[in-house]
Amino acid sequence: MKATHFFLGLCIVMLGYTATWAVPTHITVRVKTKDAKFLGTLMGGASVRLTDAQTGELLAQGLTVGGTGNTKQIMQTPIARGMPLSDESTAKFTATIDIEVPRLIEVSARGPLANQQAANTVSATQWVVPGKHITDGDAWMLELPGFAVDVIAPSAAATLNGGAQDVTITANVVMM
Amino acid sequence: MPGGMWDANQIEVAALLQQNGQRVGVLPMQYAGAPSQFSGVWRIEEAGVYEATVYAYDATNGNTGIDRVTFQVQ
Repeated sequence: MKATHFFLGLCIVMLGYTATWAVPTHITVRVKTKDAKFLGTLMGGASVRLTDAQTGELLAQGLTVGGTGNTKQIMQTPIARGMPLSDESTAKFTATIDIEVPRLIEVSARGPLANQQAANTVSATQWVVPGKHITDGDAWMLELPGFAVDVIAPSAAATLNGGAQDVTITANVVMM
Repeated sequence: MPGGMWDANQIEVAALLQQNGQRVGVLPMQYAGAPSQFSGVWRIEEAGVYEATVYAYDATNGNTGIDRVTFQVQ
């Protein structure tokens, strides 16, 4: 009986110890497409994973949600140091991870989820210190390359009768 | 579209063509008159299974994307 009480007490002390030292740390991830705007709800967003780069432990995952951003700010205004491209409504994924020590974090993003044949993956690593949030400015921003190309004619697996003929190939090409 | 924020003239669009699994040519595609659309005409002389791999490429920054379609002529 005493041993059971001792064990329970030990567990409580250990839980308390962990709770004392794990620090909620906020990380915001944005995915900007190459030569274009932010990947958000309009194209299904990007699937984001935050993992410990050294152990592979999955720490958080989700989707970027929100708008593509301010076109003028992103595409026309000359880039100036310290001036973010995004604003509050710009697509993002925000996670809170509880970490006790500095961790080397890998973030990976795959998208656009609504246009899978155009989807690419991009990733990066950086150190994250407990309580030192990555949320201001553009926060943790990744650049995703690619165009979304969709062949719209002829339709997939079509059978064209009549032998020799001219076939018009038409494709829709948009930035991601 | 041409001259737009994303200038169609700056993006190379073409189809890599295959007939029965063998590469047979490259078909340049032009702006088709509607935003974001490009087209080209492929003269097919005989029956077979065909594949077109359409790519878009911006040489100024390397941005690239593709899609594929297969169809049959008989």
